[in-house]
Amino acid sequence: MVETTRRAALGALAAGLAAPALAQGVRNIRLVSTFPLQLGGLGDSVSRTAKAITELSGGRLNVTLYPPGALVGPFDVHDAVGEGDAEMYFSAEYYYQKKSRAFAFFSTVPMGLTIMEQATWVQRGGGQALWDELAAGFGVKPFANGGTGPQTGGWFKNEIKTIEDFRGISMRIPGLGGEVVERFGAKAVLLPGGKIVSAFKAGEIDAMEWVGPWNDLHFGFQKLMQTFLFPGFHEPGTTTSVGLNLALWNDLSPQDKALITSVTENERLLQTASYHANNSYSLRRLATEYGTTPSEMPTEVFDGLAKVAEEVVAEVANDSELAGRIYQSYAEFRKSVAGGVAARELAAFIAQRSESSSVL
Amino acid sequence: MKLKRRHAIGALVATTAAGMAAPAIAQSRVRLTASTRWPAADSGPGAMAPRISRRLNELSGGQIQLEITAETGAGPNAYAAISNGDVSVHFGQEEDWLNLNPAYGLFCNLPFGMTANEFEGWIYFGDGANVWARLAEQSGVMPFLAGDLGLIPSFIRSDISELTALTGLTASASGVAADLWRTMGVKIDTQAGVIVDDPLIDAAMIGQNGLRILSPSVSHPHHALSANFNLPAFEALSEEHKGLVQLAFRSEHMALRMDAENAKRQVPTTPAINVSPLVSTQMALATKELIAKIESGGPAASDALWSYQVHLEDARAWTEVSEGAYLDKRFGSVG
Repeated sequence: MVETTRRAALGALAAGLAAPALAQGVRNIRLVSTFPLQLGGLGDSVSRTAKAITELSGGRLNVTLYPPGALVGPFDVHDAVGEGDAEMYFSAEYYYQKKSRAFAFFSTVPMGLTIMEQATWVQRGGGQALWDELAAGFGVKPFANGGTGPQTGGWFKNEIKTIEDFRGISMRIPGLGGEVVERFGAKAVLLPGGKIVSAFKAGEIDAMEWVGPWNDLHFGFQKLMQTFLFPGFHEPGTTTSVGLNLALWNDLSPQDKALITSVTENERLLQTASYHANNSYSLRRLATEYGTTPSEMPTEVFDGLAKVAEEVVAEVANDSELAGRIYQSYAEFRKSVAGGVAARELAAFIAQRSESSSVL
Repeated sequence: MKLKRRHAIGALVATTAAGMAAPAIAQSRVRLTASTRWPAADSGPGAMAPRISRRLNELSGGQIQLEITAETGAGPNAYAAISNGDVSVHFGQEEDWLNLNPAYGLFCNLPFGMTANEFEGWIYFGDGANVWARLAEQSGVMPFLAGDLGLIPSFIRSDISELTALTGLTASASGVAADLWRTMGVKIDTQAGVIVDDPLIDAAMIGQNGLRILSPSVSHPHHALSANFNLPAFEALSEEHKGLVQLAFRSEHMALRMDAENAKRQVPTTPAINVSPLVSTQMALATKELIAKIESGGPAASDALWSYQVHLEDARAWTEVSEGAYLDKRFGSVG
């Protein structure tokens, strides 16, 4: 109703001018977010996405943001977009594993690809076509639109010295990573970010992973728990996603499709860069302001988790014929990356630079 | 005439529909010219100019036409052409401007310096874009990041088991990497060096030349590509067109990063030749000499170097406990 009134007013006043955007109409897009809009990094990324589409479409696309709970719950955004109750979501695919565990491959899986490897698999290694096929079954056209980078190993009330220390703990950890720790006797709990602290204070969880130094520091985990481990086995290349209602996507003009595609590519760069920079600054703040430095996860613990992670991830292939093809594509890509020069030499460089840290 | 028309329509919209984005009605066609460092290609750095041209046309519904008018190679006149406004924008790499100011190297590659992920963080969420713009504005240029080839591995044409000395060696290299090898007494031979430190190297070249990886590759942790706009030409664009131009550059940046990552899957890591601790130490000392040269570039150069070093100090620590630690453990546990 509001849209019609605005368009009518503008149309009348601009009559006689070449007015493509006004003549073609304005599409209102309700963007529902899993993440709080005020959350640094993810919240900023949601806002940038909405602003870029609205402003750079010259007003053809008018995106209105809905924080979690305003229109639908944080983990209901996928359903809402698929069913046409909203037009667009901003989320992470591993939250939708109840629909298909294969969705996890399009955010991150334990012992999986790093953020650039993940982007390359999706865009250059056949991942996008498989994702399109999977998401189309739920009425969604999906895009990767950013990454939080490799996540840390999490925060723990007690020390983790052996794999046995996972037994009996309740840990906030989603998806396949949660399945892995459950096989070591832990209870995996799925909670949105905003409920983690209260759950800890209520004694419902005694370990958690969230994102990394930047977001973790804002939630104050460093004041609650002393054991902060690196690296994480469970989310090495966490990628967020944007999904559009498939019917809407199919109806968009080539120009608007190009715009939305480019905005997601733009966010893949900016969101990932924001996390790298701010995790870097926040790691220093954790040390200087709170005296918290991460401890390396014991190799025996990491290797134990990694071994079971391989089994859990491989089991997804048995879920369906499509899940099998997705797993196969992902596993072959990771194998090729492991044999190629990029990751090996990057790791070697990081190690050598560390030894020569007085150079710069 | 164009400005008057835009203002008139802007005022009309503002008084009747406050809060709505200015519609495309306000825009008019813009024709930009571009020079490119590399011949047009379907992949690699040569893909940058034609892909950005196509993308801008598509994103703007034909309103922004970017015509590629020149292929410059590494010619020294390319920067003057941007500065003078002979072309609107140049697609290339900042290491081509080292003779103008050694600090430009910071925005392409620095041995022992930032990785691509760290560099992106510095440019967009540190102070990198600001110090780069300050450096370039002296020449009337507005610089943008428009690509990155990631880490460039070094290769060597030799059957030695370990690189223990550099005496008598030659290297195919350019830019800051060439300066590093030169500082270490290695002669630069761009066509047939024993050491190959070349951002354009591909799997086919490696196979044909019997090259082996020289590990660890410290001379080239990433290789950024840039789009240098004539400053007045950029400022003359509407806000929407500025946004579309930057959107196209960032999209291309991601495309080039993924192209490079994908290509490196084809390059096997074995058998590698290790750089001895002695040579590594020599490379570190030579890099210190290069950094001292940057200080000589004037206040803007000095500020850029300071900003780079401040960011790297934090970024390096995060990289070590995140991507570095994860890759080590992934290789150690599941290969």
